[in-house]
Amino acid sequence: MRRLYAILVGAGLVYMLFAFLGTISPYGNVNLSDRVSAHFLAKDVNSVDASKWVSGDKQIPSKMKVFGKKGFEDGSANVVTSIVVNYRSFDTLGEVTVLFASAVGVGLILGGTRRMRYGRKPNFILRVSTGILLPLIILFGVYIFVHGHLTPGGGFPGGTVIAAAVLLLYLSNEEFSLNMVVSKSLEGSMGSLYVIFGLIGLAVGGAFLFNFLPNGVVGSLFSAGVVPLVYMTIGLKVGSELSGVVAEIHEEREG
Amino acid sequence: MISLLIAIPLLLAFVSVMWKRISKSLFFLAAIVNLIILLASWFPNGVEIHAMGNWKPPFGINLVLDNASFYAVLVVNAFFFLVSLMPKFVESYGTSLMLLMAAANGFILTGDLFNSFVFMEIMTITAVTIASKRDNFYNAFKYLILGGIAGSIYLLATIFAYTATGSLNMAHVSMAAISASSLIAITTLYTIGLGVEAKLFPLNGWVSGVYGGNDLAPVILGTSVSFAALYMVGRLFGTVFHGNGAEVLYTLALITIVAGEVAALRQQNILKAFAYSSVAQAGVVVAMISKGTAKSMGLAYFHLTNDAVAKFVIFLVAGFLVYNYKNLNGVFKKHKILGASFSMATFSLIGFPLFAGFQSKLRMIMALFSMKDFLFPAVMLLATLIEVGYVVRWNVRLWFEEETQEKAETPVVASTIALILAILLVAVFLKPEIFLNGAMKMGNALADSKDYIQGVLSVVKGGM
Repeated sequence: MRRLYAILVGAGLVYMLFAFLGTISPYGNVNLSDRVSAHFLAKDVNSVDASKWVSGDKQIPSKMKVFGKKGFEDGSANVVTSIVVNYRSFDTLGEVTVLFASAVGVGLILGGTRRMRYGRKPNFILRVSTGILLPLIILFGVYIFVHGHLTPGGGFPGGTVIAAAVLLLYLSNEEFSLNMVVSKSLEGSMGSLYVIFGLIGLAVGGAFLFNFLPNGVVGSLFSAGVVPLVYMTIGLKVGSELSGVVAEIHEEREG
Repeated sequence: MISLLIAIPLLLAFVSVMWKRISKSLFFLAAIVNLIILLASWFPNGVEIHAMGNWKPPFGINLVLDNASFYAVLVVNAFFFLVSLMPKFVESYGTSLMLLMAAANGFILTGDLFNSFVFMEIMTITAVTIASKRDNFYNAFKYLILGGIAGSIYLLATIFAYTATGSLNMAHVSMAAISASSLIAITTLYTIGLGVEAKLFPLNGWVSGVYGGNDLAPVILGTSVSFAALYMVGRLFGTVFHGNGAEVLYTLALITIVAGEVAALRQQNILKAFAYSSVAQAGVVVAMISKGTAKSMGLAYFHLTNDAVAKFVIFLVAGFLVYNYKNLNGVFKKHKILGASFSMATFSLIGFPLFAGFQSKLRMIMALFSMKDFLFPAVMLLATLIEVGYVVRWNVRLWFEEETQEKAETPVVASTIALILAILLVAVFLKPEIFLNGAMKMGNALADSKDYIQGVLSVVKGGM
């Protein structure tokens, strides 16, 4: 009976989704200037008259080239970053918090105190290659989040790569265990730092998460104002957080 | 100012990971600071927005403080404050509670559909963490799965709304012309997405397990979080979609009421019984919201406030009893104050005269009759009959049956809070304006989408 009910509900959901797909206009038929994102691409949000824009007076975004020039409202060369960490930075703060909440939950639920031992010697290749790869992986992770405003990448992928390095350490060495005090303080301080950046923006520019530093030249390393700083804090926070989760999964409760 | 309501609990939550020992005090601090901020901006009587990063709406994310969101935030933060007064209760869940507080505030205040999805995700995850207290893992897992599916469907609804209007801003979506077929898709998906948190009929299987599994989860999830979720139902279906899709909500809500009450009557576990009753009351509120007028929505939130206060007392007392006594028969002979507050709260739940529930139920039935709707009052009265059945049964059992056990230590703070809230319920009966004024303002603000659009979109620069 229960299985029949599940099949019915599942079939209903699938039917519903297929029926709803018809309401999306086909590829190529969408007028992109109707979307708010068109102005994110052109970095000209501040020059749009919002009350006219919403009532149908769409302005065509300028088609100028932005790379290597300065004086824009947003300085990231990577347009995804400019949306994620500048125009919609509050969402990113939320996503950082989602990860944080899950990490806190994992800690509370697993609650391990002792390193789990599998009684199995890691093989030669794993042990030796860890020593060679570890610095490269960490360097790569740092590269990804430091260059988040220039190239594809950013805090989340960079932090995940760093956590992968910690996972490799756990796999290659039965004795290794992460110093939880260090990882927790790094996680907490970096998370607070993001909120503090927001509060500085509130104090300086009158709006939470306001970009209070100069934007510089689009495409250079020191550009985009507060964005690289935010990405570095996110990278370190995500890295320490996921490392902490990896460490917690490798621990067991006493007794 | 209003961004601080989210920023401060969030900041303190991050700090509390570093100093675990003071997390309870930090939670208290966050709750009290938030209450002070709220009291400083008492009923704005207009639409105030705070544009994040100074990106004006509809381009950036904005927080909206109008009468509706103010009242909801006030109620939610008041409950968090009450919980923070009881450190024994919080245990090591201080960080999660602060995150839940930030998320509930953000969920209510945000004027952006995707942003509300982000906050719903945080709410679900922290709620699951809290639900897993006392090793209640199976039910927490069930909640996680349902909450995850609901979250993805909420996101899908947001995507549909974006493809139809090209914007994520609620005010902009509200004024945009959406074709009838997309509107059906969007509202159906939002119904499913919000249905899990709002405890609507086919999606509320998690409630009894989560509320019945420990003492902290029902107290916070059954009051604050459900208030936030039901606020969003009003905001989306009242303000943003102008009552489209309300028929589906209405039907589901009526089924929810009957199913919830019948399940509550059959239940032998006190926490689970009142968990089902909270499902039924959520059904009443959703059905009332789906009527769509300012008055009906105002009354819905008036009833929800009464119900949340009563449920806070009930779950507080029941949680204490369940985890201190093996057999509940006659325990109130030892705990007279707890017993008195419990009985007062349960009678308010039925809508017995002398208690707040009477005022809200009577007003709702009168309003429905004047709208020529006779089905819903009939269902509500039937539900009340069933409620009388189990409320009387529990009261008789807890007061008069033969007692068997040694007395456990009375929790002083908890019983004081329970008593004060129970007296508040009587005060609301005598002077319904205490809750009614705010709730009616909330209903007006939710129904008046023109004012909302005007307030959000014509303001170019966001202030503090």
